[in-house]
Amino acid sequence: MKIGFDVAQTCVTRTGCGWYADALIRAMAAAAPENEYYLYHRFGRWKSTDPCQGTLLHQPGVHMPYWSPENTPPAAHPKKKGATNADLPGSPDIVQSNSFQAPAVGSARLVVVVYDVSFWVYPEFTTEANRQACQRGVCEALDRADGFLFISQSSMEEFERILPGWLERNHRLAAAIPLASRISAEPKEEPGAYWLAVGSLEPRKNYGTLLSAMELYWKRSSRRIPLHLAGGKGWCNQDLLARIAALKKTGMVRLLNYVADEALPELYASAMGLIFPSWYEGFGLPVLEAMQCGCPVISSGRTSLSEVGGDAVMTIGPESPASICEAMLRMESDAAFRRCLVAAAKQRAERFSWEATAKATLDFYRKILTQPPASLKR
Amino acid sequence: MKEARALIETKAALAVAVDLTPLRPDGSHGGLKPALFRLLSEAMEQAGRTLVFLFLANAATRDEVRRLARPQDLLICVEPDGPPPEAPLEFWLPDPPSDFLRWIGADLLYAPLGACSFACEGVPTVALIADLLHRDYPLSLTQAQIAERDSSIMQTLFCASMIQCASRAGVERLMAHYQVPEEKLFYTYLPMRECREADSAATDFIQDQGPYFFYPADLWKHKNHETLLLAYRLYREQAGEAAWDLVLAFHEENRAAELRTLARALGIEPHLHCPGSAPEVWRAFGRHAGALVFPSLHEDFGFPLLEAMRDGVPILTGPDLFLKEIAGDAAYPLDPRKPESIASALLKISGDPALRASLRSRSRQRLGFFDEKTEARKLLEAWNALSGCPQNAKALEGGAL
Repeated sequence: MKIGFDVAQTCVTRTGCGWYADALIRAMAAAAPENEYYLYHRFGRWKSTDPCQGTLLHQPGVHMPYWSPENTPPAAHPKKKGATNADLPGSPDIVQSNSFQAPAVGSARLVVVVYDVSFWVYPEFTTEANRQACQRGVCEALDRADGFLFISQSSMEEFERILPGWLERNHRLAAAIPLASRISAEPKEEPGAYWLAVGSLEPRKNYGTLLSAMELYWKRSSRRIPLHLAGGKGWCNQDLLARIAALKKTGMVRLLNYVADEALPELYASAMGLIFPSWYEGFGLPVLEAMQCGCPVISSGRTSLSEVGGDAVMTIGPESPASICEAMLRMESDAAFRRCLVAAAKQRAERFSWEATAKATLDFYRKILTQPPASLKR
Repeated sequence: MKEARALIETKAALAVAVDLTPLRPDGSHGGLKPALFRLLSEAMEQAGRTLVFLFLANAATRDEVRRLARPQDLLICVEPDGPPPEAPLEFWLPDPPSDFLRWIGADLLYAPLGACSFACEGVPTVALIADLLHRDYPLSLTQAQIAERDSSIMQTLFCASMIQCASRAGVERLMAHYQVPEEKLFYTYLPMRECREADSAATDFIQDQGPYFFYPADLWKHKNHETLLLAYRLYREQAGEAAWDLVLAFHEENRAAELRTLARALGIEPHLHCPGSAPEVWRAFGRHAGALVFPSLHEDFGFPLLEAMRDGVPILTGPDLFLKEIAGDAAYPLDPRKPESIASALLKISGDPALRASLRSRSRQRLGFFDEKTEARKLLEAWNALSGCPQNAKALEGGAL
């Protein structure tokens, strides 16, 4: 197979989409080196300011037509209507879009990743520009995509809920292929000196309730372990930042901002526990990362989170600070319970591997290539 | 002209220069142009001979303005092109001097299309600002358009003594966005368009159709058509055979092709009708609709809501400040960003005749808030209050009339 792969989002400060693209292409190239891979550091409408910051993969059969060490701007990715796959570098058989868009790829087959549909279910949690961009990308995909790749069963079900029967009636292939953790660490004997929350500062993460839970916990706990918040700057968070600033003075909260990938295993492994009270997730990678690093998890169990954590995490009500506080008190006071949770989580995390994700994705491509293209199904 | 001169010179009438030079002959002002003409007509009706309009017009729209003017008014064409002026009401002023308002004896400048290019010292200005899209929903505009609109508003705010808004929400937005003091602001609701004769071909077509939802809105991003189409598909899945069709009225432009592609991809094309945007066709479809669905994310006025209320068509709309101000509890609420919320509202309205009747009844009651006589009186009061200030005394000396 000749595979075109969108790595445009790996060229900026990476969030979930960028990490996913980077990890998946590496895993696919390792799992099936017989394929040809074309990494597109510029893709569709996504403007990568510096392709040099993006995924760099030196391996036979891997091509990076838009990557240049001098960072001279290469030709724009062709997106004109009626383009053929010959217009795309490498003339790929199949192209995977990872950035909520579905540009014309000519006669190549197009796979579009739908991480989640929170922009339809909880538009209040995102910016209007992001809602418009995500909706536009999915609407384009309804016309152009041959296959839809979801990162959890829950995301696929959410898509089906808004567009019931659409995939089947339009003979479009779909698969729910979960992610895996990029990191791993051995559990530590002694529980850590801080609670941890990982994720950008945005309303969907429900940090407001978490701070309220911390205030309750601070009153009730004899140990008073502070909360460390690790995450990018996010959006719609002015009130939250003001609250964090006030709580910082009491020593209750510390803001770590964006934490580099290399520092994450130690950060997880040294925590008392990860608290993840999110309202809505496409997958919930921090939960899996924590499980893989021996950090027990308190999670909301919403959407995909129950798929990831199962019964190896403590589940709380995301609307209830008291429920979060109770879970924290239990975890810090019951060492045996915490150890059981760590062991169960470590075991469950083994179900997820990038190798399996890569193989399932390549199988999905092969299946798509046996089907008539989307343009003939309309 | 003599009559106008006599009224002005004897101070028997308030002389208001109305700057209609930015007026375009096409429909690009949307509902604003007809609304404005009705408001001015009503002001004439109420003030009678105590009001003289000095209309400033361009060559392209002079005929439209002429139809509005009474014998006691004047029409001044400030562009050199076009046919010669029709005496005795008109004259030409291709290159007006900066103080020409004083020169023609104007007590006040009214700039209903925002621009204040004829403002001059000693003559107070009232300007209408009805459009804050560039601040409220900038995603619909380019950076250049945003900058241009911003600069135009700043200039208007600098020149105008009073600012007229089209709603209470407009006043609040102007205060929030530009920190304009409240005492400089007032609002008048704009009158809806007159009942036009419905297009007969459209009426025939409609008679063969079952009930349908109607959404008249051009294809701006903030009009939110994509979310509506997604919601409409979901609604059809839920309603089954009983589902109503959907009629969209818009001017054809580039985004229309994208919208049709989406409709095809969603499989709703057979149930979607796009009859164009001719006012007669719009009128016909609007009047006979089962319900008006209005998931717009931003409005500066929203004439379709008022027209639906007049026509007894139930309304479904979102929480935009202005839409709420117009429709109040007479509209069925929806969250315009959530396809499931819109779909659920469509399902409820199409399946519940008692709810539709109740919304109609509430609409009729609410219409009482929107009386063009009251609104014209508010405008006249603002004009009179301003021109009555001692510093705004007339400067008729050397008048050329």
